[in-house]
Amino acid sequence: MTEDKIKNLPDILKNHICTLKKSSFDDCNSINMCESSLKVVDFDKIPNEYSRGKGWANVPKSNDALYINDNGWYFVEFKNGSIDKSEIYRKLYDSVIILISLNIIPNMEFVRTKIEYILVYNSNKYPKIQDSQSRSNTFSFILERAKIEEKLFDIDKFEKYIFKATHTYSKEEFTEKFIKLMEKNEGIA
Amino acid sequence: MNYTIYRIVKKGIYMRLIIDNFAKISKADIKVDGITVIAGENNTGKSTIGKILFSLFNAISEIDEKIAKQRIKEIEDSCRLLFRDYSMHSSPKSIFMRNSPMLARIIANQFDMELKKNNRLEKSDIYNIIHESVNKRINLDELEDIEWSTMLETMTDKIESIIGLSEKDITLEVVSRYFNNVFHNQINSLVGNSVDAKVQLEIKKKLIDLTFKNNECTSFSADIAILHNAIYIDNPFIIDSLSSYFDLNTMDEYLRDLLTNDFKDDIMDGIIESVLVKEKLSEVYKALQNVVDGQIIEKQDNEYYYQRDGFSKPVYFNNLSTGIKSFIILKMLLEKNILKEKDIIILDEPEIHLHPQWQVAYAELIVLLQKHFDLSIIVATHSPYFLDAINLFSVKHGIDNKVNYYLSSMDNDNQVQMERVTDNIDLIYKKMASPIQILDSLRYELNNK
Repeated sequence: MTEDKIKNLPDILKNHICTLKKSSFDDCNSINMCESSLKVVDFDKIPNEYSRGKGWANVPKSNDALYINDNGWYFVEFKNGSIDKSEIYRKLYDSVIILISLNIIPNMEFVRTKIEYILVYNSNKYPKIQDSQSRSNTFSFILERAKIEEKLFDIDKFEKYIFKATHTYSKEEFTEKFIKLMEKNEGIA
Repeated sequence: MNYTIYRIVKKGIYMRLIIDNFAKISKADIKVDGITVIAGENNTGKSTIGKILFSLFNAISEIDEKIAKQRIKEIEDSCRLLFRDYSMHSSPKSIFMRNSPMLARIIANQFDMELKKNNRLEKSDIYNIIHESVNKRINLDELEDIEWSTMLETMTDKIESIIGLSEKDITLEVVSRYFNNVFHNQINSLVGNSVDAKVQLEIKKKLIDLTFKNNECTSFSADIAILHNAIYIDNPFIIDSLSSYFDLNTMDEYLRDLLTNDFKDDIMDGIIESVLVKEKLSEVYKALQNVVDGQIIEKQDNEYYYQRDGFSKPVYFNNLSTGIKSFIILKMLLEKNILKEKDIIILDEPEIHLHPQWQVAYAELIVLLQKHFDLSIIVATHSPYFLDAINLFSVKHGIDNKVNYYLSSMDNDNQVQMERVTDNIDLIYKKMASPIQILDSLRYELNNK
């Protein structure tokens, strides 16, 4: 996020800026899932602040990072290891609810037209299944002809009625398809 | 050159098949011009399109001959039943018990000859023909009983009514039977049987129109005669049964008859055609030789063998790999001059027994056959390789403007729709790609447990 963008953010977001690298830190395994110095909202910190003093028994969950540029808003969730769909789903719902109830964004229409959701996963943490580059090529052959971007974990079902678009990227794909692009736009590449 | 004009000129004549409420299909409007690819998930009526075209062509090609045959068959059937009935109630039972099928055939053959000379027979003529036909075989003096005279009168009336049947009525019966054989009496929509099923085939702006109600053809009209064969290929194992007489389904039986027909009536038949075919064939043969480079050897009684160079003995057809069998069918259709220009070929999932490499080879053959024989080919497929190969080879061999793509899908009311997707084939691939996301999600899950 450019300094310009950060400057115009509401305080609650402005107070929690960090690098994309830091927001991708996996506490359990002490590793970062990317190396980028792009500035993002450390969205993990928002639920606590949002619920402070409300007396709720449960604090909402949230996605890891929020990146904003002129083209749109991007929620990023880093998942190193097994994916618990219900957890992922709760995080994405709660994140949207927080933005709306803090009046940071006006309504669902804003989410549907402006916000994209990206799930970054770390493939093959414990590779049990034999890898085959040729299988992967075969699958790519079909996916290319179908002109579709592969989306795992049923995430694509949140497209249109909640988010403008959804993506599921491996660490490598995230670097290729998101980080490099945004760094180039910001002129840091 | 103006591309639009070029396309129109090049396109020329094509067929359009319009279907309403036929079996699973609620609506379809299919362009059959060159190669028509039909894709879609299982159970979405892909094969139905091919079967309708097959039935339509083969039911009404040479319809006059079929009508005449049907009339004679009805005469034979009625005579046999009446004889059988008579033999149960009269004294000289044994003669008729034994001879009734033969007598019925003799009478039917006699009527066949008489009707070719004169299609308006008086009642007295009919009576005489029956009487004389039977008299040739059996001494009728022994039978001058009252039951015999009654039976003879009944038979005369029956045959008179059969001869009096209008061509239209028999046509409806011929068409009904053909379609019912192919569709096993499930022509009318499986949901909501009360709606009429309609099939229309438009060729050169002329129309063939069929309506079915309760699985019977209730109206038929044709502004144009069908002169070409429609061949349905869905089962490579058909070549295992060339020498057998097993009952096959209507489509397979038709193909078996074609493949085993010797055409020995006149050895000069088809010679001109055969020379023409050979000239056209060099390109097709080159493609075919890549897979089946051996010779088909026919021994007696439709025993077929395949001899490859470098093998000391020919291989019996049954022992060939299923993939080879798929190609051998095409080779036989060509070598026996069965395939004629503008014929229809219907291929139901031809990729099923083929490795991707041969799927690609098969697709090129199909494209070349279309190009050189101006065939209309309907092909249902699930294979991304086959689909891509048809697409690419049709461009390579210059017939891409004669390839159309359709995607079948089922709506919430279990009704099948066919969407033309010629300009966005990726919709077909999208359906094929959905399992990949499921598999890759599972792979991730398993790798991260």
